Amino acid sequence: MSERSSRLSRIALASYGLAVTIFIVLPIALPVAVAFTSSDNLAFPPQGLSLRWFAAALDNPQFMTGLRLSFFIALGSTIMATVTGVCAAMAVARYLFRGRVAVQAIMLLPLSLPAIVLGLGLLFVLPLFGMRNGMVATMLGHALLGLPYVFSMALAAFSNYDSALERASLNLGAGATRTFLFVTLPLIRGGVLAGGLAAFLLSFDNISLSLFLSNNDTLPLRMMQQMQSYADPGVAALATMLLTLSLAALLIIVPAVSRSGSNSK
Amino acid sequence: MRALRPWLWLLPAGCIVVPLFFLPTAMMVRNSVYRDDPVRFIVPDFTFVNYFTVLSDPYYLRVFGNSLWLATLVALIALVMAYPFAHLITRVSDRTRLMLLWVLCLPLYVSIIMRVFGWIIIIGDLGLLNQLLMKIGIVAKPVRILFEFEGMVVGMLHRYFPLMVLPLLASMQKIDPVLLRSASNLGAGRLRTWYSIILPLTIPGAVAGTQLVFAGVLSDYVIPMLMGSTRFPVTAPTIFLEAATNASWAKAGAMGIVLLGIVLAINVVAGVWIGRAAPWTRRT
Amino acid sequence: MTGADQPAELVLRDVRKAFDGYIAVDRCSLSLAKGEVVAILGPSGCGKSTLLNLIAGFEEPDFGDVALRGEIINKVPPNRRNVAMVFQNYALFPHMTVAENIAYGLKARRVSKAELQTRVAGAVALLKLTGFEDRFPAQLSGGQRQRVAVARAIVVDPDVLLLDEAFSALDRNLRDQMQLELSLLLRRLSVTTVIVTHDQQEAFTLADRIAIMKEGRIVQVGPPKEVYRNPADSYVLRFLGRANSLPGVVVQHEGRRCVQVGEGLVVAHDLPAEGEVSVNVRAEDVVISLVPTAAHRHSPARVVLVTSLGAQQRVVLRLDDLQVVAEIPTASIADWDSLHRNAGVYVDLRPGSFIVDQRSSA
Repeated sequence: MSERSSRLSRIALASYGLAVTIFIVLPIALPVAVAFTSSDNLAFPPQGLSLRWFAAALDNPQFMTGLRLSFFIALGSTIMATVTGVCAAMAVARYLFRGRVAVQAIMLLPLSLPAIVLGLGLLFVLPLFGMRNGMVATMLGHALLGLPYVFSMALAAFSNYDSALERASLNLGAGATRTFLFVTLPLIRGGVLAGGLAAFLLSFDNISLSLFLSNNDTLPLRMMQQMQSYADPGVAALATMLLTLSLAALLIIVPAVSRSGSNSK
Repeated sequence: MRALRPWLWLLPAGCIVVPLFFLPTAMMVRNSVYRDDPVRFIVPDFTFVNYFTVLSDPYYLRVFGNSLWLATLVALIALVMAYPFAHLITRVSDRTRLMLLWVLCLPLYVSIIMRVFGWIIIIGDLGLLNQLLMKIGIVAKPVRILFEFEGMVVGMLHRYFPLMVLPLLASMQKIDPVLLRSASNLGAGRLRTWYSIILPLTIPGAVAGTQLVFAGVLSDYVIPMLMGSTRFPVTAPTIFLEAATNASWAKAGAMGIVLLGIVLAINVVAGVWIGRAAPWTRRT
Repeated sequence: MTGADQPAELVLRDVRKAFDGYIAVDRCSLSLAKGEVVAILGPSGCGKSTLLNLIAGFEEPDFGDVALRGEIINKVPPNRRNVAMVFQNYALFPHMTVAENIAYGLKARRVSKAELQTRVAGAVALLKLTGFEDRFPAQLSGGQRQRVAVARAIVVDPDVLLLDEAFSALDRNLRDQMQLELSLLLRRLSVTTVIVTHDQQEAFTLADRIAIMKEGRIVQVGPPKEVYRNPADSYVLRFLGRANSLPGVVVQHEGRRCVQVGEGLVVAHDLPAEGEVSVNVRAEDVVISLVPTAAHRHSPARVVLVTSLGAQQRVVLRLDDLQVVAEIPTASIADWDSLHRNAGVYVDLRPGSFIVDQRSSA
């Protein structure tokens, strides 16, 4: 292959990469830009710049109550998913028992189940436990969605260090609980954080399950209603603020994840 | 007591998975064999009439067919788009790679609402694309892309593209670079190296990615609802329609179980396919 | 220039390659006749792998030429050169069977199907792989994988065969066996071969000539026995065989220039070095006797440890405050009792066998 054609193919590949990047970024970047508009419409580029829509979004009671609710739901479901996921990963990673492979597959099963089937099914199951639509129901549903993510990331974190460390702790006299809290958890911190973050975002943005389990009052649902009725930049403004928050959270968490990863072994 | 240890650790997860996963699935199965009653919504029975309806009535067949067609199209486009992109990621510097991966994963953690908003701006009737087309003079009236089949394809593609790239990338990165050197040493040019070494060795990743995208598009509810058209009904919104609007819970149950069946079948087929196409990954 | 009086098949002329300011290959020249097997021997980091990559075409020389049968191939891409390489970990294509791996180079050369099958079958038989044609690399043992790698390389009838540490992945016994087999094969096929290795035994078993490389330069070339017996400098001496490096001082003794090692050993020396020096001598050139020798001055050396190496015995001695390692043939020991720990023996160095280097004075 001559030098020139290999240069050409390199340029072509790079341009292609750029095109795909633009494809991915554009639908996300444009609403951010539009959120700063001073006018009432969604025209791009925005005709004037202003923060009025940000103020409007913060003033919107529907948005604010939705935000509060979604946050609590996400928090609750993340805690549940994290606790159950880490414990389950502990079982699969450190013990050889019959049915281990099956358990692993089952933990990942919720990923294959269409959300709509889950939602409909839950609708019928909730009354069995005396539960109705609302915050708790939504929290439980989201916890199930987040579980596979925490499980698989925690499992990966477990395989990254030597289980001899736990045996050493026991050998030195520490009980199982102390070993878990002071040896195991810090070492898998990275995987747990990554999985927890994924579960949180999943819950916060979730629509398909919340439709069934909540009272149409989570933030994404409120935003959806707003968009379908008014289609004004207020939704864009709110979404931009949320994006900024999640980016900030990522910037804090990702270094923590990679730090913990390099500490082990 | 020792043998119980792992199961103790599994208890919390079990408390979630059993009532919130197995039970609802069982519920849906139960519903699917019950009967819809116009007055009392759903009555206990044991009948397969729902399955019969859902699998033979042309309306429902069309819905399933639409979904399968949409999923196939999106998966195909995503596959073709993903290969060069994944290849690019393996060749760039570490910093660029991190950036590309970050960009790639954006659709996964940016709210769908925001993305739909973005699509409205770009391909809506008053959107940028239409403005451009009208300005150049290709069309006189705005072209309806959003809220049509094409809009759905674009939206799905955007959402599921990372799911295709990531497994493909993983299998590409697992290729030992010495193999490429060896191929070149034996006389293979770039093209031959590509289709005789790289392509076969990335099949597992490609199949895994296709499976994820296919299953995702099939089960997707939000994108068709927000960006689709009533003239192209797909499975998930239809199930919701049957349940919430028509109160045909049994029929909705049957549709749901059929959907679940298709998704599970895809998982199995993908696994078998990988085993066949990549016999070296099987453990002898 | 060449080992035999034949036109050169492969010529490296003044080749230089640097990476980011670090000179990996520093003006190396080498000439191979057709059918000759040359081993490039050196420690890791000496530049031998880079040299191989230059021949294979994976790197381009900054300066100098690589020529094949008189034609300069500097700019020829690696897939157009007819130089087949056996890689350190074999680089077998995991998704192809043994037969498909071997056929790969022929397919790339668009050889006809009939001819391909014949040639592959020939290579399979030659490398004793009959019956394994349909296996995948994952199902093969280390030795079998190496055979496939070799078969794959020779089946394309290369102008030059390159071996890159091809035995380092095998364990000791297998290595010995495979080296012998390959040596016979190479003689049979008469293929010009360049071997790169850090393993002295590999080089000695397979090569017609060896080239010792140090920090990017070739310091000595010649048939193995000759390079061994007449090392060009102390680096080569120490690299081949097991050697001692003993501090000493140049003195006048009985009217002659000598080197004094420790308190008790004085040997004749007529090289230019003065003052403080290093005496490099192989273990097998350290002579042990039970009676005082001419070289000997003061108290005897004490035996610290005797280790059996099979046909040789390694004797670690303490000479004043220096440690000296000697190797003597097991069969030559008449009186084993005299070699116990703490026994006193007398030490001499075989004349002409050691090399004296100037030690930089403080």
